Amino acid sequence: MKKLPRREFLKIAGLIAGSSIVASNFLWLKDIDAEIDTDRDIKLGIIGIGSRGKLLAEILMDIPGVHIVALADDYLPHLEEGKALIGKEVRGYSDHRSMLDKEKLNAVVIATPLHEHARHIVDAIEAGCHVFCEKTLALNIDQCNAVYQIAKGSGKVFYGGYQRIFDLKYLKAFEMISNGDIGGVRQIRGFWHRNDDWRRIVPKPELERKLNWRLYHDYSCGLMTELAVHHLQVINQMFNTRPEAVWGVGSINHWKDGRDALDNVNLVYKYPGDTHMVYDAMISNRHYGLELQVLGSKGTIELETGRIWYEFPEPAPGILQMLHHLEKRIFQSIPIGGPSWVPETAIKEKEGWVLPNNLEDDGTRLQIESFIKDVRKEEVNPFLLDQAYDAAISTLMGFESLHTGKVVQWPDNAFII
Amino acid sequence: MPQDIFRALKQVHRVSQNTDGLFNCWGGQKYNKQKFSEAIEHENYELTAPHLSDIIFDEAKSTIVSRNSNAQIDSGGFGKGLAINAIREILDSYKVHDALISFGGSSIYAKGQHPYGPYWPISIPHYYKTDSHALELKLYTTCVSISGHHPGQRKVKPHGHVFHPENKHPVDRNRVAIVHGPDAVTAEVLSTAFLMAPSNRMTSIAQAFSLYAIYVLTYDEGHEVNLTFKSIEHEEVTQA
Repeated sequence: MKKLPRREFLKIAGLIAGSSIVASNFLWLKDIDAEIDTDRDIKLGIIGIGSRGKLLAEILMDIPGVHIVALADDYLPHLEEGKALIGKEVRGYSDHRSMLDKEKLNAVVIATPLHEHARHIVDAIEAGCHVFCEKTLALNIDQCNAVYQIAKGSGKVFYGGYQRIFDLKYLKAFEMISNGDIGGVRQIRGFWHRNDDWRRIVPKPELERKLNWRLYHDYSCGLMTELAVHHLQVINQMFNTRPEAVWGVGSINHWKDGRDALDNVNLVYKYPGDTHMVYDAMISNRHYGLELQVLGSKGTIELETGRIWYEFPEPAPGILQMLHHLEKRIFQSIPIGGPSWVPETAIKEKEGWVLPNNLEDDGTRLQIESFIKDVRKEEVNPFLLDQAYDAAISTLMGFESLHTGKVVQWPDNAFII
Repeated sequence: MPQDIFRALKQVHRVSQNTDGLFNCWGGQKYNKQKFSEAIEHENYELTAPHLSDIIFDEAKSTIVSRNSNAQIDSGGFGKGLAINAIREILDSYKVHDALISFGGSSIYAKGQHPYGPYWPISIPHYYKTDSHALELKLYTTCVSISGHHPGQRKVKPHGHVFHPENKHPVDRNRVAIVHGPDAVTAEVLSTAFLMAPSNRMTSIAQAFSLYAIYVLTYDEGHEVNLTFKSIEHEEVTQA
């Protein structure tokens, strides 16, 4: 797939982000098409330099004026890999506190296991750093509340790792949905299917929980906090809302290897206005892969692939209708006859794309660049923290329902922002 | 001129003569100025296109002479018919039994039958009701030509594209003429002629073309369509 030149890509990004609907709902996108300003160097540290940390580091290393000066990871092989990736000048720490104390960092990127997020975010903010933290915000509601309160009053930039709100396909789809292109939205269907055991190779048995932290509830909420949270965050943001209630069923019905994490979950979220979101995730079949489908009375949008279908498309030109008839063995009159010299305005196929499909970018790069721009300007956008919080609570509601079998309302001890 | 062009123009001319002067393809030079003009003043309608009798065919020399220096051929009213007839010969030579050829929907030739039925069914859409049609036809080795003015064109065209050879004015835009019969060129010429034919002359012109079913649809101010003329009672027409 051909990649667009950066200038062209940014131009398209600016056009989409600049539309009145997107601009007024995604306030953090206002400088999305601006080139990176290099008038101020950024000293940055990364806490957690595993696979995701390394991916973020590679993007950061491409941004002019960003200097990754320190890494912290308590798993030495990851730390060594990170240092090798970034270069000899970067300093490595096995303890993030030491890094925060010794380095005068402007910003910190956190890509650690979920149970560490709250501690790492709070420590980084208290050390005076702007923070980018991978999803999900924290492991439980109490931790989310603590992080939210500290970050909210800190005056520091906070970004949660929800790249889809920087994904141009999603943004364009949001504009189309807001414009009523697919009519009233009454149901959303999301799914994330894989077919693997979700395990990492463990060199020594005592490292099982440390490296396979996604499988154990002391460290993670499994499929909910590692996968479903992305889609819940998008829906909350797109519809400027949060779920009222959720009911789910879950089980471990395939990977019965001593893990806590469910490998098969199904949930129904109820949103205001009786809009439902049906969600499922599994790791024993990947046929349907990953998708988020918004079902409207006039059309359907699939957000992950950026496709759109209309319920009532304009009739196809006569010849095309005839071809459809022939394929279906239908003998029927075709509306072919028309007066001469009428321009033949071709009607598109029923399926379309919200954007040219060569705009392959999941938003991660734009999001990281946006974070750096805000850090340089020390411009705090409170909506990003609010969204990260709402997404986390929505996810934890689902997790609770999966394990209690009960309908779970928006928790009394969670904030309503 | 080449024999095939000469023969084709002679056929067009012969059919034109049977339209009571309503089809005239020789006024292209004047006509083109009017056809594409954005703002037409009334006096500019006074065209001086050649009369059909000004055109003389010389079989021996394979030449065409005009007594009027303004003569210029406008193939817009028959060109697609010529193309269809040429395609028919190709299909016949390759022994293709069933086929449907459409030039933008306004000139159609259907050979043989539909893969799942005994003929090729086509319909003429209702301009103002997208879920409805104005007329249905059954084609079986026959041709259809449709002439008219789509209302959508009013936004981009200052006037209709067909000029009346007698009063030199653009033809009103509320009519559609459909001709179904064995020959594509004849059907094309007739559909243009019936786009402007006065209602009291329609029957007499149609009598010269007994192998053709001729339909005239008229849209009223309420956007309802009426079948205002039909040359034959039955739907079947003679095959090509």
